[in-house]
Amino acid sequence: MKNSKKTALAGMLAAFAVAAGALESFVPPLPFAPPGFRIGFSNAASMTAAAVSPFAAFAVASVKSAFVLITRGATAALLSFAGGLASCAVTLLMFRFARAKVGCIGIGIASAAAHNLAQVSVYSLIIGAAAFWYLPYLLVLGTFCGALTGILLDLALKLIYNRKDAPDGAKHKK
Amino acid sequence: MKKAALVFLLLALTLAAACRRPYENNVDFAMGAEVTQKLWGAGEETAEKALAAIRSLEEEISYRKEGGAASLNRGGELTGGDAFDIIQKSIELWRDTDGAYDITVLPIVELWGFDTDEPHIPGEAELSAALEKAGTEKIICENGALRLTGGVRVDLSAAGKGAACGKAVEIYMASGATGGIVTVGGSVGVFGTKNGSPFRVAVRSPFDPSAAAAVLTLTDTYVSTSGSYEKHFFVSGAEYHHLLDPSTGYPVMNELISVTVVCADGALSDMLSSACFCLGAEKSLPLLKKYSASALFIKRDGSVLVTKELAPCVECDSYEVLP
Amino acid sequence: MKTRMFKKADLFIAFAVLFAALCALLAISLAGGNGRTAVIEYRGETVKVIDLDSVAAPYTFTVEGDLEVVMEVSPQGIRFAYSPCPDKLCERFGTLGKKGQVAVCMPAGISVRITGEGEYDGVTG
Repeated sequence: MKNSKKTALAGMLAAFAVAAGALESFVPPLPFAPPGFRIGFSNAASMTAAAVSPFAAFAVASVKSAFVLITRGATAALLSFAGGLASCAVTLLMFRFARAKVGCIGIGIASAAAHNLAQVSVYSLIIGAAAFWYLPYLLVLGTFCGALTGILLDLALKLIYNRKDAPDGAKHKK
Repeated sequence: MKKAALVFLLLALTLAAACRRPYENNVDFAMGAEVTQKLWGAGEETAEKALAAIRSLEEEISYRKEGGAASLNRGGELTGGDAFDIIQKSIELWRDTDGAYDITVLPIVELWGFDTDEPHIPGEAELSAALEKAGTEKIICENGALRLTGGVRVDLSAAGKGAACGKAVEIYMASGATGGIVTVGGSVGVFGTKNGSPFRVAVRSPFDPSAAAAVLTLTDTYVSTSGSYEKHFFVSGAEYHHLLDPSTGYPVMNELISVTVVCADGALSDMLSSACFCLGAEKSLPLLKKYSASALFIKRDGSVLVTKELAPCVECDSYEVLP
Repeated sequence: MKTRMFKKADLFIAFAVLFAALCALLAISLAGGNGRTAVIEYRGETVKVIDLDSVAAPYTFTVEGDLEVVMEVSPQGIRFAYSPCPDKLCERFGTLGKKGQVAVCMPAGISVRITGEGEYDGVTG
């Protein structure tokens, strides 16, 4: 993929991430999830960006957090950015080193776990060790939501990489 | 894959090991008081050892038993051991307090009968006779040996419970435990942490034995309390309690009702709490400083005074920090 | 290189995460005794400790954090009754009464959690 295309794709994905994040705030909270828990549909966009390039991944995470900064304030943005960076890092690593072994669902789950772990860590800086008591609930819920975003990631990758102008010879199928 | 599984198994085992439930033991009796122990990272064996150490300390320092202190009271000499050490510390504290801490007032305590079922006000004549018999200056230390003169007898019970906590904590340290808390009567010894967090020690309210006047958050130290509410009786409305002023032979009457001392030495925490009760809050401050100890004073009107070193560890509805 | 939607290793990842969650849950629920004590913290510092088992009648009190929140204690447990924060997430946690539960008011920096430990470890005096 040419750089211009990558940039365009990163922009689209960032837009999608912001839109997904905004839409999610209208979804009623899951009945058994702790308040503030989000499924993380926008994570699918960040992960797709990670498949494109590290730069795109970073760009999407930043834009997403910037949007959170405007709408939900500095603390939420910090949490979003920490989670975004951690999940991007894990996704990038898995794409680089374990692409042959793992599927999109696995990447989604690992990325969600990293997201939760990073957020709880930042959380604990603000409110203390009590934050870690969240972790079990978040990890369990994150596994299911991660699988869900993993499926979205798979769909996105198919959309992008099956086109004739797919980048770097990295054909997704066929 | 197998490697990853192994890593997770190890992680799980470490977690399980780190967060073991404490070993708890609430049933023992020694040093004339109830002994409770809670241990993290060690178990019954360590608690049994600690209890044995407390019992052998009691044998050594109680004037009612047959060890060092008892033999000294019977005219023997002491050249070492726990009783020797505590008496040395007591002599120093006696000097530091101008006699407010005195381990030789046993005859006076016996006159009041606080350890019997019928405590009573002694007669003037017998009290002054008993005062004559007391006095730490009658303990002679020559060539590294202690002996008593002038019919004086030593009573180390004001240091015993704190010293017992010290013995237990020594055992905990050697056992490889990660944390432990021992209470012997009103003295508490804390060692290490409970799974990483400090211990919470309540200071009993003088006005309601089931309530806490304050809570101290502590690690690796000792706490002892002297309170006039522990043993007391009333005669025509006047209160008489067991914390006697060695200079008069009568109960200490000042603004205090309870003194809690936190100190890195178990026996000293116990001794200092008695000494500070007699001295009052203000005069206690230089003494506490000398022994790197801190204290919480509760006055008769219910107000609480805390030394500034202790203030960060105190949870209490309202208290005043001393300069 | 192909990226599939699902591979066998994914199952392993899922189990690993769930297993980690289980371990963390065990660590929280095994620590301490069998009491029900609410620990209220402001930025990690303990502000108040309440033995829920000895609460007879409901009452409320305020906790001074970055914001001033109102907490309600009852024999059932403890909850954020009111917080002036904008998102009100803390109020949505509802009443906490079981060991291991936690509720947080982020804007106020205040958390409350239920531990199994007694109110204190020892008593002096």
